[in-house]
Amino acid sequence: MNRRASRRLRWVILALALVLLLVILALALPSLIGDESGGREPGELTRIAFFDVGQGLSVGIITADGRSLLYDMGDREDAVDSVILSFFREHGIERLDYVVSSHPDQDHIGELATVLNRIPVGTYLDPAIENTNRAYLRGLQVVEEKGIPAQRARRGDAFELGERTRVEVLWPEPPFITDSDGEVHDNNNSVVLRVIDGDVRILLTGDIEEEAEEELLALDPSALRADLLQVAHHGSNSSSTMPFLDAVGARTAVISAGADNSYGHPHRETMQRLREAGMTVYRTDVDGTVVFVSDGTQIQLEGQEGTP
Amino acid sequence: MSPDRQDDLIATVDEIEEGASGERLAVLVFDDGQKLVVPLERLPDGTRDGSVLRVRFRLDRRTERERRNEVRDLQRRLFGPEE
Repeated sequence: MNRRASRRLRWVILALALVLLLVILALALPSLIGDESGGREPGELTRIAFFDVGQGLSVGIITADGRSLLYDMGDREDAVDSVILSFFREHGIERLDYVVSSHPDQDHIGELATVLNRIPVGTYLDPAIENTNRAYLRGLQVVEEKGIPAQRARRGDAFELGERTRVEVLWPEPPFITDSDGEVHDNNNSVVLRVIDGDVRILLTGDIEEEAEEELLALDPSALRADLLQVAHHGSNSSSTMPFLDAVGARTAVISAGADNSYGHPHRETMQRLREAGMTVYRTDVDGTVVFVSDGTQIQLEGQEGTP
Repeated sequence: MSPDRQDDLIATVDEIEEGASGERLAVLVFDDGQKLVVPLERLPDGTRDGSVLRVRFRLDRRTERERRNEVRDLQRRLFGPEE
């Protein structure tokens, strides 16, 4: 082989090595820089967990492409790691994209500061209503200390949570609903979210009561349509009016309540209305943590995928 | 019994437990069955298992106002002005 041919061969080998190196880098890059999607491929299942946090509420969502949202976190410190964060971590989530406080009542946001101190959070959402709850105050202080971007949740807001999942804020809308003393009513100004995963819709209602349900119905009943409903206010009789349930039209509903709670939640009348509305009801006080999976066309209880 | 005393709630110290940090906690059970767990050191000297306590609440408007303002200021800083 002459000298020129030898040099050309050397260049060809060098170019091939460079191409090979680029291919290896392209394949390895996601794991080198940290794959925020938790290693998921599009087309997988979106998971919606109604955590057993006793008498309170906490709902976790992990989308098919690994985005995450926590809606409320209850009031039991031991449940933060053992129930809530373990669900996310088991599915490869080490950072929550969104944390939403439905309203500043202890059984919904009691452990806000704990959650924010234990896992990185992308954005914090809140109805920003007047109140004096100390756990809420402490939670907001942590939001500020950590520099977590904070957004006031208002009707009309919406954001994408992954490629096929969108979150709409349906409530609250100023002027806020007030009680007979003119004070802003915590429950009735809860953040109501509709999570749309492909064709599947999930309605999260916090603790809204009859007055907020009436206003939501008056604004746009079609926006309430959902396949899965978080029954408002732990199944209290002050919520879940028949017109509201009819507008939602879900086949499945979940009540988050503590076993033998002092309030008698869920109330018998609510259970009756849910039955009349044709909904299959799951309860965290009876069933423990309840997890649903959505493939973007239908939603089912985890473990029962594929059954009619 | 004076009218004031009629407004009091009656609670019995049902048990005294050790808390997670080693502090002593009194489990108060009110006559309607509701429970309240209070650090023993916050209760009157001599409180023991089986003690009966009278509990009276009073409004603390100053602290309420301070707390409300603190929350409002923090909300303003975090969320900005309402549009």
